[in-house]
Amino acid sequence: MSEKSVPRPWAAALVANPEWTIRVVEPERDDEALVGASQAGDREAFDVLVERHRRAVYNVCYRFVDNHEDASDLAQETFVRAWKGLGSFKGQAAFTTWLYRIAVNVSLSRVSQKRLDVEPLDADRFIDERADEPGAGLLRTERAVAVRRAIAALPEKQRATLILRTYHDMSHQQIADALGSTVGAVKANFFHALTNLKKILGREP
Amino acid sequence: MTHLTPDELIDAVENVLAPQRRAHLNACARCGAEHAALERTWNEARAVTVPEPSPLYWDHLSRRVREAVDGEAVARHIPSGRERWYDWRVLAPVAVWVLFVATLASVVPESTSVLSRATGVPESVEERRLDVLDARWAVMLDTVGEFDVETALDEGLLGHPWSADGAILQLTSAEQQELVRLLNEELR
Repeated sequence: MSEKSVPRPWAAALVANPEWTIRVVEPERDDEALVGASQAGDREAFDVLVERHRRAVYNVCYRFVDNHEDASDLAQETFVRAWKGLGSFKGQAAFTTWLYRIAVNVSLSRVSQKRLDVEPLDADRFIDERADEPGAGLLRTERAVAVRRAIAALPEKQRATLILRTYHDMSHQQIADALGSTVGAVKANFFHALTNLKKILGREP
Repeated sequence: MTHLTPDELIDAVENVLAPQRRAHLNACARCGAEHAALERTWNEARAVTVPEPSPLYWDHLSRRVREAVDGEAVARHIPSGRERWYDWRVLAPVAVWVLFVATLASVVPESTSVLSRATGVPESVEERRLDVLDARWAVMLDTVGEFDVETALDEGLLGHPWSADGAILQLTSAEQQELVRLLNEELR
């Protein structure tokens, strides 16, 4: 007696709808697989890595330079350096950690070149943003500008630590790996960053 | 009980402070005030966002990166055709080959024809010329026969594998002899 094959529901659906096409969806490759392929010369794999991490890299750079044009240049430079340095990436840290390290380094180099002109804040200008009055939005914007400038005034390591911890939710160990530092130094830098930020913003005399 | 250290204050801000130290924090006005101030500052920093670029920007950034990476590959030194010829590994065998041909041209006398010696019949000018050509072709084939296509390509002796000299290298010995015969017939 011959065996009968049981028709699958999807096969019947395809027969009933000949205009349908089958699209093979490749499983998304993780960073490790994409890095391996990129190291072997697969440009498209590197393009996927760029697409996956471009926003985060741009945001890191923006936090340092506070303007779109410089952040864009730095983001591009970060990825170009990553491409050139792929051969030296051994996978001991996560790819994102390594990428952030490059982004921080190129950003700090640019900042030290440009030497942001940070104006001293006038404490009298601070107005309680919780007030529900016309212009409250503008005050919040002014406060945001003040905070950004205060962050820009921090020493490099403190600024980098604050940015990575605050805006990219990296752990102390990840920050230590990205900055070539230790967990203890990261926590100390984070503490001093918040303390200095507090002073600059005028909450302490 | 000592006040919280900077590390412990950071632990407190991040809500990972050890329970026994949390008890001190709750009880100590000074540590409490310092912790509250750090937490307010951190919350204020967290509230500052990065202005979102245009939605079209991200693909533009990817394109810029792709072009920059492509530019890096081109900028790496890839020897041009002329530069490859200036490598000693190319010039040496070419020099030997040229020397062979030049020597042959000067050494092989037009009067020493194999046919003439064998038959004793005085050779015509045409026959002597063909004999010289035969000899020269023989030397050339001997020299060329030592190279295969891959070696010649590696040494940059061939512009591309489908050039005329590349085709000769792919012929067998018998085919090369036949080619010489055909060329001689054409030259008659």
